[in-house]
Amino acid sequence: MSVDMRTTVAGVEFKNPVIAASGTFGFGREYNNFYDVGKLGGISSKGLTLKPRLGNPPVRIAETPSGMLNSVGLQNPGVEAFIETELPFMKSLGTVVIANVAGATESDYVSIVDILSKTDVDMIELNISCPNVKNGGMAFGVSPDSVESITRAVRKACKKPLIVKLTPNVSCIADNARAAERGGADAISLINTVAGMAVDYKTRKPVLAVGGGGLSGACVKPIALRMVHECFKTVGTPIMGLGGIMTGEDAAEFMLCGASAVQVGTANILDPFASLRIVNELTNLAESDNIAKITSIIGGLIVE
Amino acid sequence: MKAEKCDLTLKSIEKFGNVYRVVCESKKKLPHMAAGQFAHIKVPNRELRRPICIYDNTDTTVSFIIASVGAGTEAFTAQKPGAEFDALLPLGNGFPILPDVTNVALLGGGTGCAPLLKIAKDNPSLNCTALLGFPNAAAREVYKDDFDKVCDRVCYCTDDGSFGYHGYPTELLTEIAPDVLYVCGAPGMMKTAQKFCADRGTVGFASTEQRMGCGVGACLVCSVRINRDGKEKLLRACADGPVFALEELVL
Repeated sequence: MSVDMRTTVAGVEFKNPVIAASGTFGFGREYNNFYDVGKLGGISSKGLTLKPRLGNPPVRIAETPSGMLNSVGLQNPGVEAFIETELPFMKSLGTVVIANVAGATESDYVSIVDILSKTDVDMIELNISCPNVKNGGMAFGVSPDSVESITRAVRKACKKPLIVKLTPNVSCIADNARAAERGGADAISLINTVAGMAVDYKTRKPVLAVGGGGLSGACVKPIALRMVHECFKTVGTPIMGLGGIMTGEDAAEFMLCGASAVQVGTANILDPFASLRIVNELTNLAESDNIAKITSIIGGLIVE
Repeated sequence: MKAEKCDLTLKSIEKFGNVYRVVCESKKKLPHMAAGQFAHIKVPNRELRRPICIYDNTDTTVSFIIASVGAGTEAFTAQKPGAEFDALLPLGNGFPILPDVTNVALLGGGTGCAPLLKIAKDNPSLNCTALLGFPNAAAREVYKDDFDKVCDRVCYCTDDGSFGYHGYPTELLTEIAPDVLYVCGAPGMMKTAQKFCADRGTVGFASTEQRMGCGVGACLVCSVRINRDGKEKLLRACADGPVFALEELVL
């Protein structure tokens, strides 16, 4: 029996629920050398800003138990270069193209979303949760009030389905999900990385040049699952779940907790074929369980 | 030279102090590899792959010189012959070989000598002088007589004078006066080489290293500071390098 792997988020249809997460997949070019990345449900672009950004000084990565820390700091070519050189390529892939955007001020966010609304990106993902830049990013994502106000401001300029990406570095994730919903988000994605740090005892210095970074990988999966579940119970907005997804079964767990689609991040860094493997594993899992439509498992967690 | 994910088996591993000479083999024909390219190797019980430069290769084998300097290289070099793992290879841009140039110097320090061997081996028409620096005589043994076999001249240099020239290999650059200099070593060596090339108008290429994530150019963690077009840029060691023009390196 073949499984119907399609899923829909905010009116956008995905051929399967597996999306490459922002910051781990570039604009799809590199991994397309290994396999046809058009086989994925979607790709979320590297975080884009109005002007090109150099990013943070190296070292930018540290290995941790069952995960990694990064402090790239939104290095990107800027939205104009994205539209000119990367977007046509991404649109040629035959997969849903999500533009992930970040800014230092509210007007940055509004401007970039206004610019991208005039292009043929399929969705916009608002990154208000990057822990690696001093100004903006996570500053907007922590308090529910600021989540709501930035979402509302962007919503007015946004002509595309709007995903708000939430940070886990908050006291109550459901409050922030509600705030995004009130502000007009069409979907939410969570979780971004968990703020963390690695220390080199020998040098007595932080491993990362900027001190701290964002923790990701298998170690954050339990945090992410719980937060997705909390949000699913609280808001009606569709959810993209992410955080430490390494296998098809991990993806299915997020869907049970209420995710309509999932994003795969760190797994791509560990293995270039990871996202494709996860699509195949999720398909096989559903097939062996006689699941006709993958969407039927969304929110199917049994809580007694 | 498209990178592939290759299944490898550890064929032999020899220990020389904290440096290992590792030969891996593949049941299938391996892709073509150029001097200066690297492999991104899966390490047991670690999350991230480890980028290791390709030292030597045949159609079905690839070898590496690996210093055990941290958790990843320690775990990798603790493996025994027969261990199986995969590696993405070949990755990155190797050393450019310029036409109509014959007098070439290979300047390496410690494990930094490893990416240079294939320059001489793959280009027999080059007149290669290897200037190889080590702390002491024992530290050069991992290379056996590999450089002697493929270079026209090899100058071993030791900090303590226990073998070959007593001093830094960079001190011999003026005497060799190469048309092209290929270098891989500690920042001090790179700096001296850069100044030598700048002063004399010599073309130089350097292999860099940085802590790496994906290895294929997507995650942007392995930044190297590069001065290009009058501006400082952060380029990817994995996909824009690891070899850069020596004059571009911000050291």
